[in-house]
Amino acid sequence: MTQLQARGVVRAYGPTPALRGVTLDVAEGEIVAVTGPSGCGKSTLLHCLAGILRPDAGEVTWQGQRIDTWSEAARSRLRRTEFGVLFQFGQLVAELTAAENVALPLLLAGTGRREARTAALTWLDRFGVGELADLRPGEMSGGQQQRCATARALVTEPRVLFADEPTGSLDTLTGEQVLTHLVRLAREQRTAVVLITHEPRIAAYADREIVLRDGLVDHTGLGLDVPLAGGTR
Amino acid sequence: MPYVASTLFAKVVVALLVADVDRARSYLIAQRAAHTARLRELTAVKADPAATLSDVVAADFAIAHLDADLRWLHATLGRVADWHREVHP
Ligand SMILES: Nc1ncnc2c1ncn2[C@@H]1O[C@H](COP(=O)(O)OP(=O)(O)O)[C@@H](O)[C@H]1O
Ligand SMILES: [Mg+2]
Repeated sequence: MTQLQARGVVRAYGPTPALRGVTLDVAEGEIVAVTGPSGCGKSTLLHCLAGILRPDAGEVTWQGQRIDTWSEAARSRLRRTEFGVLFQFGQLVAELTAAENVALPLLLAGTGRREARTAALTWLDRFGVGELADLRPGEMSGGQQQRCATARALVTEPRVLFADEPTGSLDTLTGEQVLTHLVRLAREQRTAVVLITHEPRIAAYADREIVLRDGLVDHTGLGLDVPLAGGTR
Repeated sequence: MPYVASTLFAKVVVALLVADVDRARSYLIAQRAAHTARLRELTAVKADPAATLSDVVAADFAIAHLDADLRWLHATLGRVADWHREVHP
């Protein structure tokens, strides 16, 4: 069943069009890869779906309700509860330990300190970094930091995880380990994932791949603008 | 074709490009779809919690080759598209 839907989403930055009418459905628990060349609008689409940016036109609906018309406060609340967001790097708070970082979304959502810490430790363990609970980000490798960031994005057990090039700053093996954990845990708790990547081998972890080109969904899946012989597009 | 371990495949594409660009493109597109499907299968094998170390290492080997071929297929399709634009502006 469709939980999250974009319909004809248009968004520009001043004179620069980023999305020119994107329609996309994400079902409960589904893992969807969004691929395409740099600058095609992937990050903008993710920001619109997650309610971080408002589209100029079109609609974004979550469980049948339009969220693009909600206030900033209401959209923030959604991101603290139903949605999780994961970026390429630089999201952990440098002054806090791994456990404190992972507990943070729960504390913001009103969970008690002890309970939040217990959950944080569980999630760090699930990502194989339980022994780093009391280290600060500066004391960890890039891969360890990204495991903590992923644990933090999933600790609230969101219904959708938005991940923008989550392995983009990691070497192949480390990136794959982070992604394997992410996909396995998302499937276990039926969290849908919108996974942005420009790498075919990362997109291969998803159930389905959407290709964007110049702000539109490319239904040929090729990212090329020449029509096929005899075909229409 | 699981993955390309010879230059035969590239030779076929080059020959087709000389003879018939549309057929070459269809062939490239079909190959890309086949490679992508295989990449998914191998990724599923690897991501399975029950996979053994040797399963994973064998899948890694095939994936590395498929990934290289996919990049080449994509670049070639891009070159064909550029060429098409120049000839039919
Ligand atoms: N903050 C911004 N200000 C101006 N232009 C932007 C901004 N963010 C993105 N863009 C432009 O919008 C287009 C889509 O960008 P983006 O969504 O980041 O693409 P992708 O994530 O696929 O690389 C690009 O042309 C980009 O230059
Ligand atoms: Mg981006």
